Amino acid sequence: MGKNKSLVDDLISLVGRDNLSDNLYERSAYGQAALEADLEIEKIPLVVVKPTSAQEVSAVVKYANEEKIPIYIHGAGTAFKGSTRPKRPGSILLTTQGLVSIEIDEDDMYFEAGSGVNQYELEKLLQRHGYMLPMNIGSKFSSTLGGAVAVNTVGHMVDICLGKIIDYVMGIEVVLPNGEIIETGTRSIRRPAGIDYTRFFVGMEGVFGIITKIRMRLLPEFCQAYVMGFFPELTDIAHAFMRFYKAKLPPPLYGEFLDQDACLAPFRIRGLAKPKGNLALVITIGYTQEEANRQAENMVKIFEANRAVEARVVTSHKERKDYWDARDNISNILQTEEGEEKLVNSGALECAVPLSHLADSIEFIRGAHKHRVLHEAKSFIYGHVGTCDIHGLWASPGSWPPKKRAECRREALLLENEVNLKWGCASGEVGQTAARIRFLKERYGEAAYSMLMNIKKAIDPNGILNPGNLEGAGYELG
Amino acid sequence: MNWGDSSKGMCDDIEKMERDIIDRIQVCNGCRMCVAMCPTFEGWYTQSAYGRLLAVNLHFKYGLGSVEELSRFLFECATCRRCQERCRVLSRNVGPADIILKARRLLVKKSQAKDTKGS
Amino acid sequence: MKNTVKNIVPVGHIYIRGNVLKKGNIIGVEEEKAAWAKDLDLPRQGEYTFFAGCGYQFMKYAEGMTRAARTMQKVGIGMDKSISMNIHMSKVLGKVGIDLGTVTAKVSTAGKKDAYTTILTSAVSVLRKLGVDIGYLHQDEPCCGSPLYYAGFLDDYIENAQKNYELLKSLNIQKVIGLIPACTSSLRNLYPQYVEGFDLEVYQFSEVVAQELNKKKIKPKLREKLIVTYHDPCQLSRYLNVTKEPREILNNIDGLELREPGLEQRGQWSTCCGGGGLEAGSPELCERLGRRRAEELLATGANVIVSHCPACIMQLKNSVKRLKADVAVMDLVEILDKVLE
Repeated sequence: MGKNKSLVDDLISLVGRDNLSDNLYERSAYGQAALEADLEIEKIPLVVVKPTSAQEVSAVVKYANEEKIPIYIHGAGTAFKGSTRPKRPGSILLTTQGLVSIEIDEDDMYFEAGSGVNQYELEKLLQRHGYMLPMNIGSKFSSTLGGAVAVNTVGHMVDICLGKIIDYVMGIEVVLPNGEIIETGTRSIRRPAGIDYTRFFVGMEGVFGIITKIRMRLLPEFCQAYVMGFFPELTDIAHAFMRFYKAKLPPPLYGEFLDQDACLAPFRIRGLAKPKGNLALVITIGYTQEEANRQAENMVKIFEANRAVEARVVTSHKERKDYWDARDNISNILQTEEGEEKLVNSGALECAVPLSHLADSIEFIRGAHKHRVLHEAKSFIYGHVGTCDIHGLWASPGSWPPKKRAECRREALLLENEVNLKWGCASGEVGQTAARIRFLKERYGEAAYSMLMNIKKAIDPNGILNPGNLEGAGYELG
Repeated sequence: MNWGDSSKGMCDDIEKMERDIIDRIQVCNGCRMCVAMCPTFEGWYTQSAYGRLLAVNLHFKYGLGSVEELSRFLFECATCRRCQERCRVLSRNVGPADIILKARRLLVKKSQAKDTKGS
Repeated sequence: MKNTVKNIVPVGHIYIRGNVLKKGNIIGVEEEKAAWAKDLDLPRQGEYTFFAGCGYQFMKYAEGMTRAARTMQKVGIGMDKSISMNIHMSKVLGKVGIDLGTVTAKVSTAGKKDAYTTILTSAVSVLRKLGVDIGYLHQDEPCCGSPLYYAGFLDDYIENAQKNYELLKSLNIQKVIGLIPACTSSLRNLYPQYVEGFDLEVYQFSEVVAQELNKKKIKPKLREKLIVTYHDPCQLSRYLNVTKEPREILNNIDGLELREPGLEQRGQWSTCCGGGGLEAGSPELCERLGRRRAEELLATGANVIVSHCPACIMQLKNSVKRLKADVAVMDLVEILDKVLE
């Protein structure tokens, strides 16, 4: 108790009373990550701090090094693979929610934003100026820019259309594990060739440093066109996209699919008619509306040539929004009517597969595997087929005992591992820590993993930033 | 209109009430989409449906935290139902506003039971 | 109430509970109920029964009391303590026949015209202008009991609801027009859940008005142009799902320009103003919510903020005043009475 009191007082002197909470209820809310079922009481952080500047972050990190207290970094806590949850007891939870500055510099064609800026708020602000945010993540209403940059993800968007988020990051301000603050990159729209420190942190999931500010290139809006289709089989959609790319057609901005079962609840909520098959949604872009429209028509032709029962360009704003929301708000798929047994998320998979294996990997994930508990659960397949990224979700009744649910989660991770190893790929949307460390080791080998751990040891000798994440703590697959 | 309340009539069984509330909270997957929607949110999770639900969970499922603090968080909810609407349209339809009201009832019932026992 | 409940439920809610159960209204005032309807010649029976509710009738007392509580807070007496003192003083004064609520109200609103009961008279006037046949229960109108439900006193709420239903049935009432959204939502959504065989038809004022205006093809006109913004009360938009009708009514008025706050600040997403229920337990938080919503509404550039709930009206009036903005806050009912012949 005494040690805690002085910890709280010390941190108050660094960040201020208003930017700290030592309330048990508050701490446990911060200590829980998205999709995690059970709370590990002993790992609830001791205190939550919300610094409002890189200097304050630096002070907290230096203090943590002196006192040997681990820090877990948290934007909005919406990471799917457990990176924000404390893996060790007695930690400080540092949230970037206080780093919310935004400045737009149109003359130099960039904006600078604190890592705690909300993605949706940023997107709206940029749109008001005629720009787009080059990422679109399903959780954008809650998630932070810093989280997306730390994982190097663009969410739904097709990578080969606009790139990954690192392609837009001109530079960052980052606090090193020893508390030093450095600035990386450039103010020019041509980013450094060769050694660019930005690359040591973007995508490194918070283990090499805490990103506090991000400079990103301003991207003007494109013209868009919208296509939807229903298909008898999911693999039909896969074949459509394989044909599309074979024809050397330019990638759409979004290529989404949602299996027929997964459509049911989201359609019902929005008053849409029952799905005629498995849903495919595409948004094509162009510098001119004609270009976007032409690409949309190409997509419709390809859909029609691949067994679509319906394929058309959608022009109604309401229809576009309804179908997009039905796909985007993926949590809707588990909604049940009052009185029905509630379903809970028990296993999740996300793999970005090679183009030529888009169809057979979907079949494999769907049912051609040998995982017993997964076969008992209700499975939903959906995702970003246009960027070859497949999501699987296994839902179980709320009445399953915790052990069975944990087994389901474990099997989903094993299946994901299997898919990636079988076809030589990796996950393309959410990060590797902490749930996928075993995959990291198996896919890329011990030499690479040792190198990673040695670097981590060298730059973070006290093990301050997100310890346990690179070790896959809590996700041992046995 | 989604009222999410299948408990018709008076519920005298405090244990059943508690069980029902805990079960409903497990459906929440922590997407935090309700947080920015809460009019009482001023930067801390306990000022949102997400935080309030987890507080109820921490107290009743894990037996931690003071009941006075829990009740303070629960009664600082404006019962505006914005979180419930948000969860219905964007997420799991957990029914957070209803859960908060149920939790208030549970606390009142428990303290009334305590009063009768004590006197 | 015994000791332990006092630790759980804010004293303000406990006080209101006492008022509802003992005096049949949220403020605990007995004599003035239905005084607003004295000269309106309202029969007890009609095709519809007009359910006025406690809010508009007693808002002037609520204003007085919250002002008193705030003042006490400024001199260091916290909300809980000031209400406790109020309760204690209430009991003492009650013994010698003095109703503290009335005294406080008279003292704080002396000489000021009551802006709230005029809304009630306007509501009746509007319904009559539209040819709707209404009756009113006068002194016998019960309190719907909503504050009990939200504070967690479910057993009390159910008992009160059952009693009220029996009363309404015994008077052969079939159709009710609720004015206050919270009362209407209580009758429409909650009573059927807790009262066996509940079979009353419950309408909300704006639903009836919108329907009549449409049926009779009335196109009202304002003498001078008004730029107006509409604040959806939580109870009306989310509990009753009524967002279309008030807008239909406003857009139908010639000379009225409706400006709305952002897409996620209106309709089903309307930002709560904090008026309903927070005042009793957390006045400072309540004030902050009011300020934030007032700022959103003022940003539309409208001259008038229109809403349709006594708590929202009181809260927004106070918030706008604190922000020193020269913007009026009116109830939808007042505008309707002005433009209808």
